[in-house]
Amino acid sequence: MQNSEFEKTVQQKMEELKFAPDDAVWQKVEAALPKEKKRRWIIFLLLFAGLAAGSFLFINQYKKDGKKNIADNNITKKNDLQNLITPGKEKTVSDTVAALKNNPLNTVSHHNKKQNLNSSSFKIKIKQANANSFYNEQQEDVAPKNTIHTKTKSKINISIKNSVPALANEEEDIAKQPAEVVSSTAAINTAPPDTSSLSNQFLKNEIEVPITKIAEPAAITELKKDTSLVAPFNKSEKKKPSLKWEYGITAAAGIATVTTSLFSKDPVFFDANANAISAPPPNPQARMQPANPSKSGGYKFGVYAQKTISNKWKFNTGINYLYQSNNIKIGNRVDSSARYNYDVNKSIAANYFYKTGNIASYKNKFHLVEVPFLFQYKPLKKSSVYLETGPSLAYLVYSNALVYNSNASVYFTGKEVFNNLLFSFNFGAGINLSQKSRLPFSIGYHFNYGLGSVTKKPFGNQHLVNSLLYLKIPLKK
Amino acid sequence: MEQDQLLVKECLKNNRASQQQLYNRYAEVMLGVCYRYTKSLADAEDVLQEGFIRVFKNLHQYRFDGELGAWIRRVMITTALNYLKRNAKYQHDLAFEKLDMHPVTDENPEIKLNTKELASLIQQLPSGYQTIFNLHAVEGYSHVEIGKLLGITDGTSRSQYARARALMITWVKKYYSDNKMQSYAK
Repeated sequence: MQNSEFEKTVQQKMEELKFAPDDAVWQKVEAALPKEKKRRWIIFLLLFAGLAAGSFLFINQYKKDGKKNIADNNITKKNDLQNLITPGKEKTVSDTVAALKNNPLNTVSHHNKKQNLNSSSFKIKIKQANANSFYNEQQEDVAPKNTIHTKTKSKINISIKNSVPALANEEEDIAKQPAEVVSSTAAINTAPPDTSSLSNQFLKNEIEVPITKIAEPAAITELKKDTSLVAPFNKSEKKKPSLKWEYGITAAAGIATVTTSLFSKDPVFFDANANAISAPPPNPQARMQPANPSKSGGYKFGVYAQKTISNKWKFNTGINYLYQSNNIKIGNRVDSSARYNYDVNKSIAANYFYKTGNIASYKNKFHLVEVPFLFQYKPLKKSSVYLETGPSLAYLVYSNALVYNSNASVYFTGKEVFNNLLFSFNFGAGINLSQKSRLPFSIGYHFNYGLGSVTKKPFGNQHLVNSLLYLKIPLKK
Repeated sequence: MEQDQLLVKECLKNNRASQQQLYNRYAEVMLGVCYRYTKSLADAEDVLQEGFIRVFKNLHQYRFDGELGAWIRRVMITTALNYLKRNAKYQHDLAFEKLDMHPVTDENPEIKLNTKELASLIQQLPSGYQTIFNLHAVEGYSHVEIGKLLGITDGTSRSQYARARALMITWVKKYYSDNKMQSYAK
């Protein structure tokens, strides 16, 4: 019958049927479409770049301030030193030491490992005394840079760290400073130290070292680079962050839901499977709009391992069991098997399905195993607050979540519906508490957004979202 | 075909200009499709609007293995059927209960009506007949497929179509005899 002339003519004529739609139709279509993506990833990238740049500038400024303080102190020290070292005038070490002692800015300490100064060498260390607050914080860095070393074998070398070049180029990393510092080595031709005559105020064993000549100040600017004395000193005194892993347990609880995207409030089940799935409808005339999932509970617990990368950064990983859920309103359950075709030669057999309706509430549950890869950043050194961000990888172990078939107007489920491997993005903040007590712990907040849909493409677009408060308890440090 | 592919790819990026281009390319033809399933141009425009929203939201399901126009057409038909199912004024006729209302005929009269006149006749069929007539005579769906789509048996589809066809032939003949368009609605 279909190939009769009548059908052919009807088909032919209907192919030509056209009407110009009203302009309002497109406007309504456009209004219903998601807003044109303004390349959100660029916004995220810019935000991240801004955050990174801000952090860098903050850290740099912090260091620069410190460097400036060091430089100021060193200028003072240099002036003091120049006062001590008068051009063309011969001085003895005891004169110099006495003068340094009289200067309120400096103290002189004697670091002679061997009390017997008849040994082949000794050191004199001048340390800044009027420490300001920054100096106190940075003492580990500053101390070696404000040091005069004197080494003697057959002659005495005074090595002065001069920070004037650093002032000229403040952008340089302070950590590199020792390599760029001009340290003065005033070659002092001298006889072997005579312990009997050196200043008894400063050196208990009253050593007096006769100095025949000291370098003129002009020579200070031309002093050869001598980092060999400073660098090892820095290395030995600078505190290194602990590189050991810290282990502990973590637990979190909060709310969870699913969404079509992070910034969209489109209905989760709208249009899902409109074309890909066909199945005999249980009752085509009893069609209702599908319900949108509402928030429900979520929790996770597991173990974590944390490693300090630097003073401000930590890396955190572990393994968690994650449960999250959401609720939807459904109609009656129908215990009848149906096959839902969702792609070419692909179908799902379900032994039951739910009609649309408002008769009962159904909890969509997701059971996952999660491995986070988080980076913690502590913006303030003295504060215990930290920010946390990073991806996590999760495996969906089981879910009973329903998907919607718009042709049959039913909800159904099956393991073929889900993507098992899920990536998500986390961010949050926390605070370390009671760190010096026997039971230190951290509390914080985590927001987790699934980057991929938990359901496969033909079944719509559902991104898992959870918002949890957590507790971390370290077990081993 | 390549143009379609490029257009689809741009649409998937949510490029509004491309989406409008796709809409402009197919809107007139698709409104004709929607018109045949509904009772008025206003209803047809509602279906068209809903259909294009579905098209754009489900465009990722288009696999480039057939004509884009054919895929959009299937979406429009699905949308039209859903529209009929949930719209009260179409519900009664979609019950497919009046099986013996019109006699069946095997005649194949020549159709001299123009496209819009023929579409108007189809539009005046009872909704149940109209749907099955469109799906079978125009779209070429088998009665088994129609049965699945509408949730009826293929036998029901077959008998409904036979009666719809008979009614159409009666009206076409009457159109020639009267030589004017009238309302043939029951």
